[in-house]
Amino acid sequence: MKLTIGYFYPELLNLYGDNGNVEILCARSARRNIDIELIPISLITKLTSELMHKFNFVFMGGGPDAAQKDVYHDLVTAKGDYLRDYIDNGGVGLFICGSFQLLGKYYKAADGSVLEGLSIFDAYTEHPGDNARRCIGNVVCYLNEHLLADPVFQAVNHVGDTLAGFENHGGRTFLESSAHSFARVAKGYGNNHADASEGIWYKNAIGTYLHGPVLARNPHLADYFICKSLNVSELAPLDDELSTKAHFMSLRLKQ
Amino acid sequence: MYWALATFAKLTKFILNTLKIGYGYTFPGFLILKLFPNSLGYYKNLFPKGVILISGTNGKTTTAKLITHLLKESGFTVTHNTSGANLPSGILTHLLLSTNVWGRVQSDVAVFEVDEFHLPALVKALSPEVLVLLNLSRDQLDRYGEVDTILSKWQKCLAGLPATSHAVIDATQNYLHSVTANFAGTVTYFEAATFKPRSFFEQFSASNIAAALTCGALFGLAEDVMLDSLLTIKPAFGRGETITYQGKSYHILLAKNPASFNYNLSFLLSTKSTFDQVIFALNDNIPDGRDVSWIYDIDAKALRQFCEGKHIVVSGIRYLDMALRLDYAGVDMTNLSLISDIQKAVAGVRADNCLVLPNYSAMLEVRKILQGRKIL
Repeated sequence: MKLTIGYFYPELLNLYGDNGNVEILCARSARRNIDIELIPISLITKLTSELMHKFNFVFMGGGPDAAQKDVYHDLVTAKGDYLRDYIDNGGVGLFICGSFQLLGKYYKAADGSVLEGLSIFDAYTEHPGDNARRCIGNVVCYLNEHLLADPVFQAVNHVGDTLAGFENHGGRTFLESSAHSFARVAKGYGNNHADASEGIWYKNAIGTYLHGPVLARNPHLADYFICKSLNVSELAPLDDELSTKAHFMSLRLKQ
Repeated sequence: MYWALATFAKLTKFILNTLKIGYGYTFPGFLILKLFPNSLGYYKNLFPKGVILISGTNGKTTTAKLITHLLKESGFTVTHNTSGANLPSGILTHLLLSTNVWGRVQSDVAVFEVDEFHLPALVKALSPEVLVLLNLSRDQLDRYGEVDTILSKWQKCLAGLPATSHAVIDATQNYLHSVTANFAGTVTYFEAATFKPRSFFEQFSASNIAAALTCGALFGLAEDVMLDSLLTIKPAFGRGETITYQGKSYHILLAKNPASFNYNLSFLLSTKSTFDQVIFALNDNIPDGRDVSWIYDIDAKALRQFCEGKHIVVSGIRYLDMALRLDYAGVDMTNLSLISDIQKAVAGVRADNCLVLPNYSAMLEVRKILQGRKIL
């Protein structure tokens, strides 16, 4: 068994400690004697179907605007099709904040300019303008009940139906009616501060606004990704006293 | 005309500070720069002994403070942006405050720390006699590809300085050396290793002290006199302070973001500092920022190496987050105590030498406990 992680643009998309998600997946796998291979994909990496086939997990974080423009160009001209094939064929992946937005249909910036997205996720993002308040703060949400009901999720879930994280985004993301949200917001803004949706759940890929990094205080989600990636139905349990405590303490944080 | 501006600045600063509104050291300069964008240029060549500008990502506050202290101890009168306002608006405010209403400067020399992005504008306006360049934090700025942009801007502004000017540069920061390519003045390199620290503060600030000593020498200050003067300086809050409390020594290194945290760790590892006990204190109050995600930008390997064999105490409002971060970094959790209450964590210290790595509000809390009084 080996977890092979394709980490997209680690040097460009690494705001708010999101690289911690990869560190956490590696640590939790190592503790179970699961082999790990981490393959960084940068702007200059020549992506091939062969390389994509090696991955059983893909991670992409969020970044500052300038970095996201470079990434966007590279995705549209070179790597986007590979990523689409991977996700459409059930590849497991986690896409945070800026990359969650880039994988949608389009991003309309504060100045009204429109950036076409990869249209992998059935969602679009619009920035309501510089005068609108950024969505910043602690978040508590409830996992999508269908995701929660997945036997794989049930097998590794020793935490419950909640997620804890921190959000910091200007854009508001709206899911098309056919799309499934990742979670439902109990505290915080979520995708758009209007319909209580948080993130998107499409096949085995998840897009979310949750930083923290999201896998730190949500060990059930981390193990779900490991299980799905390795295509196994259960994992050896770890001592999760600390992460579980951190999870429940986070539920009480002020927004 | 000048008297009107200077009076305006003094009055505004007085009102803002009295009413505790803040911005007293930036607003007057900000407004005047809007009205008269070239007003900083007025001060060029006005100080009899010249202007010293200090820039870099880490240590500019401490270095400027050290240089000011050394010069004052040797009898110079100094204008210095003590408030830490290091943008053009802040520096103009300090300049306006330091002159009389006729525009005459009342000090021999001006010492300003300058934000690295705004250095070119200030160099152009003030034509400093001495320019001290410390470092550019690559790990922070490289993400945005900005190091090279800043370096080329620095290089351009140095090219405009006269042959009488001095550049004082950290010898160990090789990437900085290119900025003097077209510089007509004299370049002097300094190096932390040439200075033998006598205290925790001096050890922590060795490279800043080396910069200050080099700068002081350019003003004719004798080394032994400067070394004596150094003994009377007090470090800025939490920046290498040592406080004795109930017979034990507490060394405080502010660790408020990934840059300062990683800098502290590399300092502690390189000097092989020996502390039996370490307190990590993490809060999420407003001045800290509510988001603690950045703790995952702390270098995991350095964290693991540093914690090895030490008794670790994790404290503060977000102690569980910090403990979890240490756990994922691979720190041995068997020798670790979780004490959320900072007061209890400090009081429970058994070792004679304890190191505290707090973020901002946690640092204020620790100082308050150790000094037995409120500071803010």
